[in-house]
This record gives sequence, structure tokens and C-alpha cells, in this order.
Amino acid sequence: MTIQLQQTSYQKSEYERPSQKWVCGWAVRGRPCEMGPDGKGRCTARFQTQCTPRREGDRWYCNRLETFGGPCARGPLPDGSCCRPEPEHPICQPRLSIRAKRSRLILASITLTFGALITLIAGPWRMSFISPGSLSSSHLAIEGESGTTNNCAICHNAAEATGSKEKAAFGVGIPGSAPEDMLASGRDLHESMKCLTCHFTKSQQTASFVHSLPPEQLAEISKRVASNAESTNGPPTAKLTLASLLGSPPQSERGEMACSACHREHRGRHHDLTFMDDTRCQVCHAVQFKSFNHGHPKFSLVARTAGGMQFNHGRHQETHFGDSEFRCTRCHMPDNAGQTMLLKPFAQSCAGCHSGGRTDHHAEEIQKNVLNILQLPEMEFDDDLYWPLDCALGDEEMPLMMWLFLAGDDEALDALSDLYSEADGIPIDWEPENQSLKPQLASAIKRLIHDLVRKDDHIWRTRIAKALDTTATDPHVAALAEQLGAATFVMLAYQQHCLPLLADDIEGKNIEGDEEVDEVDWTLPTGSSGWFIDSDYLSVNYRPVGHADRLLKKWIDAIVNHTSTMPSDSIREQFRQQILEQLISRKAGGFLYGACIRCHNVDRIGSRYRVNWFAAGRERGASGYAKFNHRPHMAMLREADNCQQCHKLATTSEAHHLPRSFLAHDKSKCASCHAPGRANNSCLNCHDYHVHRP
Amino acid sequence: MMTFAARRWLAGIIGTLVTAAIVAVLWASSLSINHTAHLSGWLLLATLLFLASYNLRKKMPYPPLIKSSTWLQFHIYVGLLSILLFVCHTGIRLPNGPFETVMAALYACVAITGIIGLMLSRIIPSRLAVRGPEVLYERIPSFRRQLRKQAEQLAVDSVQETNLTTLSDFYAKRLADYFRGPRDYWRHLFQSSRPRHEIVSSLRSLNRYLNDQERRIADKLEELIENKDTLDYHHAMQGTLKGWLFVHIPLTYVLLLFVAVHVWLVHAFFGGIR
Repeated sequence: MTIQLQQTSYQKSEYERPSQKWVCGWAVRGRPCEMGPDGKGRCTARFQTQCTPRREGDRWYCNRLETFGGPCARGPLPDGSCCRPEPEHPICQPRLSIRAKRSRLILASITLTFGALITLIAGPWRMSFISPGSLSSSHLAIEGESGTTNNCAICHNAAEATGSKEKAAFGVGIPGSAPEDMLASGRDLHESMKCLTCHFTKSQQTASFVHSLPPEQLAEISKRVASNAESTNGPPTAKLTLASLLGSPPQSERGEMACSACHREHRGRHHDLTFMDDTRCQVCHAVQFKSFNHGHPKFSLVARTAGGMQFNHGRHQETHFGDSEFRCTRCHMPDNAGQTMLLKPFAQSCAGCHSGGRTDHHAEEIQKNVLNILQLPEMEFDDDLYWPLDCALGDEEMPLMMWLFLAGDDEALDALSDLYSEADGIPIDWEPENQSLKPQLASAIKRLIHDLVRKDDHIWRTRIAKALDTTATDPHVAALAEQLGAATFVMLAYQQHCLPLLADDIEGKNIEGDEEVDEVDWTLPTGSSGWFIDSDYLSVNYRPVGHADRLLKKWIDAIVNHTSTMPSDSIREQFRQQILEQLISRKAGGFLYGACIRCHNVDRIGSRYRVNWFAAGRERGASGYAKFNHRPHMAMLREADNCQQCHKLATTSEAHHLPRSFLAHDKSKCASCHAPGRANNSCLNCHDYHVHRP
Repeated sequence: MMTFAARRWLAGIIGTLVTAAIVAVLWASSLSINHTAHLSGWLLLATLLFLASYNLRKKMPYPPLIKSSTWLQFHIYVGLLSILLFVCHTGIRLPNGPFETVMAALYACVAITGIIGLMLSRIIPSRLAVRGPEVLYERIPSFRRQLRKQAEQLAVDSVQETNLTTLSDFYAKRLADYFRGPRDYWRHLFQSSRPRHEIVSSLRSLNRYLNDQERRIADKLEELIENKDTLDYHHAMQGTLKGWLFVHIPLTYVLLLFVAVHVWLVHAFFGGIR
């Protein structure tokens, strides 16, 4: 620029106020006034050229500022007003400064955006608007048609306000469905529970826990795995170490983890919800390693308590078959998918040998076992009490099942508590101080018989439920009560024979004289199956009808599933623990040991028991989470039935240490194919996260 | 006092280290089953709030919260970091929900306008420095008026002194409108000198019809034209420097509104255990 436009003199240079809200309207035309508008956007031109005259004595003096030209020559008028009635500078319409315009634009943008957001979020399209993206194809049914329906409420609590209809359509909120159950049990209803509305699992109550296991059980497994870790595992990768340091698993204090921690939705139609890379799997684990081929622990043996029936393959091979006859397919067959080798039904696999003779403990032989259900203990009374002394031949013992039924009688519980001696077990503890309890026990037994002869399912259920410390609607209670229905006829005969005036006695009527005990005309032959009265011992007994006898199975299920492995102060719990111990213990000669438990062994899992009715399945595998698909591996077998390439039987000397007599699988055999660049060697290829697949 | 190059090196090294640390933490977190989006989301929100606070800082002369130029440096580096965080947060994928798509588009606009602004603030001042003395943007209309008045006076003088109307006619036809307001905004923005050449050429083409006295006046007019062209250049450049903020800042506040709703939605619809 060649012309000096900018005046730098303090009197000539204009004073700019870019940060003020208003600027002179004449500034655009290049001649702004010096004062500029006031703070409210009003032109101050009038005040720039006029003055407010100052009076000294009888004279008025102009006091116009030097900035506006100084005092004028004419001076104020005689009346003291300014001599310039009209402003010299035309009045302008002030304009907003650049900064003020920007501020207004910002304010307008915020206001419009806020309004638009409120409109969209409050409107019927809000769920479509705020949706972070489409669901995966497997959840397409939830998404439904896009539009105004509030399907979000099916999965999200926050959307529940108006989504009750859609919730009901998917079963959310229906009494008895999983979330309601969780709520009723005092647990927080979090959104993961809604997943379980559709994804039912066998372990519904523990589904939200890590690996669907109670925290104490998982801690026990982790401790065991960590203690068994091999020193040859080698250090984990730096990536894994870093991830472990920074990424603790997102679980609650109770050990629960949200489904969304792994299954992340709204990632589009083709998103794989089940994908999980190896690092993410390992970051929580106690034992970490580089990969399946580098550092993965050797395959361990299946512990005897890890589930599945007891069966000694080695002994059966050596003792009964020999190498040539001991073919896997005699007892096993692949499932429809070829994935799992199933055990054939009993009739096809075991009954061929175990249907008679000395080894028959499932068919006819099982019928030799007799289960004593009801027998009156031998008691004498000082008072005149209605009690059939001729029928009471049970010495000082009562059958185990009778103890259980008596435990369901609230009135009898105190007496039973005193008569029960933990040290001696179930036999009645007739110490001198307990002699006075005989009438109470007699009354309790009579009430029991009275209940059993009445064909009233509700009474049976109530008594069994109390004995098991559960509810009358418990499926185990219902199943056991149902079996008692078949005993009514025998119970009635027993009552009419031993206690014919029981009803009157229960009602409190006075019964005079000793009643004659009638001959039992219709006691069943002692060799037959089912319920019968033993006329020699005057007891009600039950003889199993054969393999998978329903009463035995229901009874075992009821007591196994309602007995804790932990010490308890509850007298009923102590009864159940003692009964279970005497029933299943081989050492105690438990009745059920020979009949059922010898093969269908009972496991202790944490604080609970579990009876193994079936052969070990996928979910009961080596680690509890391993899976194996037999079909693609069948092609590797050189012979049609050469399963022992992988399933190697142990020698006789080491077989008794091993479950089902098999040696541990050889990892190197798997790793020869499952290696980088060859077959898949990721964690999920062989392991499931969920102990029961949802 | 550090040199500009030293400051640039220092800022570059610190920025690289901070970026590497954040990326490492996010990457390590992504290896576990934690939702990395939570961590990256909160970091991104913190950076957005910091970036937006620069505008507030400029409006608050007191208390003296670090020099504005230092704030600007942080604003630039944190802004570049926020782009990285945004990529980490969204997982290098396009959002497919309407709300998130709009929000991502808003962020993209804010980031792009920010980068454009950074480029403008680096390019324009150096160009202005070689085109005349420093001129305050607010005073450009006043200076333009001075030039117009001088040009008008020259046109009047040419008539009075020579009794010829060649220059006054030319002024009335071409120069009056030229001096009235800013001209050729986009041409100046793209460094085109054609507007000045066109009008100067027109004036010079009159030379053959002018006498000596008129030529002296025409030379003065040409000087005024060149000064007016410089003023227009300053107007275009400084206007652009101020104008991009009319996009960048309002979009920032709109984005913050969306982010607030986004945070609320994420926590309301979080599928985890509370």
C-alpha cells in the first residue's frame, strides 16, 4: 500500500471496540462516529455534538469535549441550552459487531438443535432416532419393523415406559419368567436378565455369573487350576500381560457379568455376537500362555467328581471282553450331528450282560434289594397309650425314609431332635432322659401313618416339603409325593392291621382295651416288586421293580438335591445329611449304593450334591467347558472303529487311579493339526464360555 | 526464549508421547473384555470440553488464565488428539443409527473446519504481511471511504483543470462502483491479481486520449486503485479468518448438545450390571 491510511496519532487514530456488542451503523460506510452506540444498541450521536453547558456565576460555558471539537465559539444560549439543537452527525442504526453476530448464531444454533432434539426424542420416532444401529441377524425378530414401535423395551429397562405391549409379546415381565424370578429372589433386575427371557439355560439362576458358575465354585476351580499350572507354560505374551494389567473383567461385586460384556449388539446385521479372541479369553484367567501350541496346559484327566457315571472300561475289557471284543460302538454311538458320542440306552449297552446272574444289579438282582419304609419301633409306655405292641417289632431303630417323613411333622421335630444322636447316627438314642419322649414319638408315628393312608396329595406334599426345607411346589416334592400314591393300598392294609382305631385316636376319642391284631389277609408275597407288607417283621417295604425304578430315583433326587454338604444347625438338614450318608455310603453298606450309586455316583459340587444319572456329556467334560466335535475327526481314523487312537485305555496297574480307566488325551496329537496356518487353534474352537449353552 | 523451531520440536515430541500413551492404553484395554468405548468416550468428552473452553477463555480477559496464544497451541494439539480418540471411539466404522450418524457428521464438520482454520491461520497472515501494512479489519470501510473520496476528488479535479471529461467519465463508468465497496472476494482468496490488472489495463488504455495533465491524474488514480485492491485483499483474507469461526464455533456447541444426549443415552441403555 503506497498511501498512508492508518493514522497513528492518539488524537487521530480511531478507537476500535471489536469486543463490544454494537458498532456504529455508519462504520460500514467508512465514517463511524467516535463514541459509537451505547451498550443497548442506541446511537449516541446527539450527545457527541451537543453539550450540557456549565454555569459559573451568571454565565454559561460550553463544556464540549476536545474529542468532539472542544468548546464551540458561539457558546451556550442565554437560557443555558446548547447552541446546537440538531446533531451534526446523522443518527445511525447501530449494527451488531462480528463477535455479537457470532454469539447470536451460536445461540440460535443451540436453540434450534435443542428444540429439534426434544422434538425427536419426545416424539413417536424417538426409538428409531436414538437407535445406535441395526441388530445382528439373529436378533432380527426383536427389531421388527422400523417405525414407531418401542421394541427397545424388550431388552432395555430405560425404554420400558411405553413398551409394555412389546414386552408382553416377548414374555418379558410375565410372572414366572426368568427376570421376575430374579426379582422375587431379591436380586437386581439388570438388563442381562432380559436376555435370559429368551435364552433359557439349565443354569438360569447362575447364568449371570462369570462362566455361569457361583463365584465360590469358580474361585475353587481357579485355585485348583492355578495350583496345577505347569512351570513349562512359559511367559504369556507382552500383549496379554499388558491387557491383564489394564483390563480387569467388568464384573460386579457379586461376581456377575453382563451379557453385553462379550455379546455386543447394534453392530450391524452381519456382526458375529459370539466372537471372542484368545487374548480376551485369557485376560481373566489365572494361567496365561501364548497360544494352544505354546504354553497351553497338557490335557488333564477327568476327576472322578467331575461328573458322569462310573464305569471302569479297563476292567470290563480285561475281565469280560478282551481286546478284540471290546469295541467302542457296542455301547456308544454318535448323535445325529456326529458331534458327541452318546451312550446307548441301558437295554442296548449294559443289559446284555447285566440282565441276570451274579453281576445282575440292574434287572432281577436289583429286586433282591428291599427298602424298608415303615416299621414301628419297640416301645413300652407307663401310661395307657394306644400303641400296637404286637406290631412294634423294630427294636430301637426306624427306617431312614420314616425318619425323613417324621421330620416333616412340626410337632414331632423337637422330640426327634432330642432322640437323634449325631454321634450314633440315625438309630434312636434311648438315653434315660429321653424315655419320656416315647409318647411323643408314638404320636408322631401315628400321625404319619394317618397321613399316609389318606389319599391326599396336598398332605403328602406338605410333609415332604417341610422335611426337605422347600416348598410344596418343588418338582422333587411333587415327584416323590406322586410315588406315594401307589403305596396307599398297602398303607391302608398296614394301618387296618396294626392300628385299626387310628382315626379315633387321632381325633382324641377314648379307646378302651387292647385291640386284637387281625391276621393280615392280603399281605403281598415278599418276592414280588413294589409295595408290600412283610408279615414276619410287620413292616411296610418296597422292592424296586428293576433298572431306573421310579420311586428310588425320585427319592434319591429329592434328598440329593435338598441336602447341603456343609455343616448345618438345622435338625432337618442334619437328618438329611445323615440319611444321605447312610444311603449312598459304600462303607456304611448303604442300600442305594448297591442298587444305584455304584454306577450313578453322587458328586459333591461346592455346597451341593449331584447324582450322575447319565454318562459324561459335553458340559461335564474335562474342564467343564471343553467341547469336541467327533465328526470332522472321524476321517482321520485309519480303521472304522479305532477310537483308541485318541482314547487310550490305561494299563491294569494304573487304571484304578483313573476315571473310566482312560489316560489323559495327548495334546501334541491335537496340536499337530491345530496350529497357526493349519486348523483353527483359537480358544473358542475347543471351549465354551457358558457351562450350559443359552 | 525458545525459538519457533524449538517450540515446534518440543510440542511435537510431547504430543507424540501423549498420543502414544493414550493409544497404548486404549489398545491394551481393547484386548480385554472391557468396553474400550467407555474409556475413549470419556477421554473424547474431556478433550471436547477443553477445546470448547478456548472460546470461553477468549471472552474472559480476567483472570489471566495463560496467554491466549498458548491456549491456541493446546487447542490445536488437543484438537488433533481428539480426532484420534474419535477414531478409537467409533472403531473405524461408520455409525448406522440416525442419532449417532448426525453426531459423527457434526464431529467431522467441526474437525474439518478446525483443520481448515488451522491452515488458514498458518497461510493467510504470511500472505497479508507481503501485501501492504497491517490493516485492522474493522477500519477497512473507513480506509475505503478515504480512497473513494480521493478518487472522486481526482475525477472532479480532472474536469476542472483540463475541461475534459475522459477521466471523470471513466470514473463514473468503472471506478465509482469499484471504490464503493469490497470487490472480488473469491479471486483475492485464491491469490488472483486479475481484478487489479483488468481495471488498471482499462485505465492505461485511456492514455492515448489523455493529455499530460490528465496522465498525471490517471497515475494518481492508478495508485488509488492499487491501494483499493490491497484493501480488498485484506478484507477477503481477514474476513475469511474471521468467517470460518462462524461455522466452527456454532457447530461445536451443537456437537456438545448431541454429546450430552449421547452420554445420557449410553448410560440409560447400558446393558451392564449397575
